[in-house]
Amino acid sequence: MTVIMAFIPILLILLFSWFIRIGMKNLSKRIILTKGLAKGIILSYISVLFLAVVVYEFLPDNSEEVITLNELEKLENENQVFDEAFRKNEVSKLKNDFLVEEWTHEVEGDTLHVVTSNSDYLTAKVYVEWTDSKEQQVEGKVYRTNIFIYGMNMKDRIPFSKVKWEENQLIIEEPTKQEFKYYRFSNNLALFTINDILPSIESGRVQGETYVYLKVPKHINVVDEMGLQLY
Amino acid sequence: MFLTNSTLGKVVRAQVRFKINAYMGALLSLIFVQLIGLLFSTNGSSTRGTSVNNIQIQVITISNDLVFVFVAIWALFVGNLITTRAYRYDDFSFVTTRLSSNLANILVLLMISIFAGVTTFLSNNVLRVYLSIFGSTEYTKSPGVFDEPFSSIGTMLVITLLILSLSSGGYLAGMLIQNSRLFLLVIPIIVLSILTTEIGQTLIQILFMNESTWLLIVNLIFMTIVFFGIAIAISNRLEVRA
Amino acid sequence: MKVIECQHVKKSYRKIHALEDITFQIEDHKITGLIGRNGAGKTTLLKILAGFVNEDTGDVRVFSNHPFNNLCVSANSILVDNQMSFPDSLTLADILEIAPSFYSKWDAQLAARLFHYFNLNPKQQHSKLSTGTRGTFNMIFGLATRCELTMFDEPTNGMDEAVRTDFYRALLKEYIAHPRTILISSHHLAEIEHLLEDILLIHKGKVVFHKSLEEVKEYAVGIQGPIEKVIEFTSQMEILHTKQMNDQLLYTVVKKDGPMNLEGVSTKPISPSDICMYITSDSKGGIDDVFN
Repeated sequence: MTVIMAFIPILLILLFSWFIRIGMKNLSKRIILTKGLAKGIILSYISVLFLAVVVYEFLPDNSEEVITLNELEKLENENQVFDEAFRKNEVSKLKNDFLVEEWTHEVEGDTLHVVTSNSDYLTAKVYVEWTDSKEQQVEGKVYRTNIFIYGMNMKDRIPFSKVKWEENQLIIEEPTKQEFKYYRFSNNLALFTINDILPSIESGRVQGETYVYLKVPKHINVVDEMGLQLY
Repeated sequence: MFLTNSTLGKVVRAQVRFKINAYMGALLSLIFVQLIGLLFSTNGSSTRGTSVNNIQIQVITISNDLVFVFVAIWALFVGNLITTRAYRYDDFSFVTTRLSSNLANILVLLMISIFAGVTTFLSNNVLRVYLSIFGSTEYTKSPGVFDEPFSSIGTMLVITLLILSLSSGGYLAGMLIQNSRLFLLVIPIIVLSILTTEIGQTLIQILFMNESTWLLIVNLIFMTIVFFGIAIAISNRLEVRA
Repeated sequence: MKVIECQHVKKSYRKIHALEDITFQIEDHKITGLIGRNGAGKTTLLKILAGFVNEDTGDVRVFSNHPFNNLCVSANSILVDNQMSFPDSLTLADILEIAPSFYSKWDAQLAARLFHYFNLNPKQQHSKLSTGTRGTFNMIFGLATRCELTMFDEPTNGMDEAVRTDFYRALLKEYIAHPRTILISSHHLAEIEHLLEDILLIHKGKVVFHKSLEEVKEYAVGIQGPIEKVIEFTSQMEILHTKQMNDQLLYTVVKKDGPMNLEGVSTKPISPSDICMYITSDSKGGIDDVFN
């Protein structure tokens, strides 16, 4: 069966080429192309192509998607630096560009539950820093690092995990299931990118994450019911 | 008696000039083929999906692949076409030898391939502009030619060389068939056996599936030279108007 | 200087022997008629001289070069035949425009004048011309190249009477103005006789003779008289053709061999055209014998 399947594209190609051949023959019989006309068609085709190239350059940019491989590497680096700083609790090194939210919350009682809403794993990295404060106030910062998928900046496009308070519960909410469909254009042939003959940013991908940084007074217990990754 | 002295270079140059004018139709058919390819590419050539945090992201890429496949078939045909009797006989209405005719054909195929390679690469931009402006779906801005100049030139070069090597294959096949009709049967068998047998697959992998672009380029150039060389050798005894 | 030299040239296509044994030489600046019946090998010979096909054995020299795959021969010779083809993408005007880049002696003025005279349409494609018009265009092309060796293979096929006459006239004028070696093949000698200096008669792939027109005229004589007398006279001679006129009269064509003493019979000069016809006919009689 597989052998037969292998032949089908070849047969299709043969059929197709046969059509082209017949079509060309008929065409050349009916239309008398003078040298001038042919030259005109070819020249106008070329100019349309080049015009398209230029026009495309000037089309409004809907985001900063256009980046090079080097830039992609830089972004990946930024993410890593951030990740490391986050793990080591070097607050000063946390890049403010990635900051999305900042809040304070009054906790009643002495326990703080960290819960994730609709998944069994935590979609955000949480770090808890203990303070000597006697107050009930919990400070929090939410960060989000670069997300580039198939060369597209997805950071602002896709909804990310949200942090919500419900009494003493800090709920990290996953966005509802959603599907996003994007059309994009490529300069490269998929034929090559499979083998990575010509590396391109289309295959490049930087997967960022959501980080939650909490400043919790020492006397409050943080309960991580699901065994989440807390630092 | 005063004999004119013609050098090979002079004759080849004249023949190339003549053929560029004469084979204008081939370029028109190329444009036609590219337009059909573009028409079929609007649905996208590859789809990739991934999910981040519960979010499914599907990216449908519109690339030159389909146009390229169409052009590749066209290249085989054009290489083949100019070995046919009518085209070879045309040469002999003017000053020619079999060598000069072959050299001129090769140069013209090279020029046509460059034209085909560049236009195939750029044809995508027509779709970009059209779909971005008139399309109903969301099209994200993607890197243009100027954003990735080196990779663009690389792709153009590889496409051009692939087209040239395919046309050289068509040219060789055509010359073999002109020598003996037997090859009409033999060539498909050879091609099919390369495509289906393990040895053939390994050969294809060695030639085309390289990690380095440069190696691919060298392989393609080597293959093209071999094909054209054999074609010249076997066509050197082809009789015309016989 | 010798323009063409052929030594024992043989050529066969598959099983058919087109040329058996061709040996001849042609000097420069002569108009030679290549005469022979259909299938005698005229076209094959011309194609070998033009370098289109390769001989099997023997030695062919054109301008002292072997014509097959020779640039010098190709640049200085042209074969005009009805198989000449030009791309459909070019108009007649395009062809004339591109020709000078190949032929350095190209006479654009002559081409333009003849083109105009014969009322050709410059925007037409070569393959769409009628046989006669195509022949006319090919002829113009051939003359305008001013090639040192210009060969015509049955050039007047399909041309009407007026064009034929014009063609021969043009050829002669061109030849006088710019002498070159011209080879015209034809199965119809009478029509081109007035142009020719030499005649090369081939039959069944062999050269029968290569003589000047004057010599050919003296080649044979026709004898007519009472049957017994004619038979007696011609018994020692090479008979080319006989025809019984009526019960008493016999007409015989014999090869002329020195002075002849002929009494009681009448003699007639034979035209070169008839001589060629008689020599190349397989049977000694005529078509009439088939029906008797």
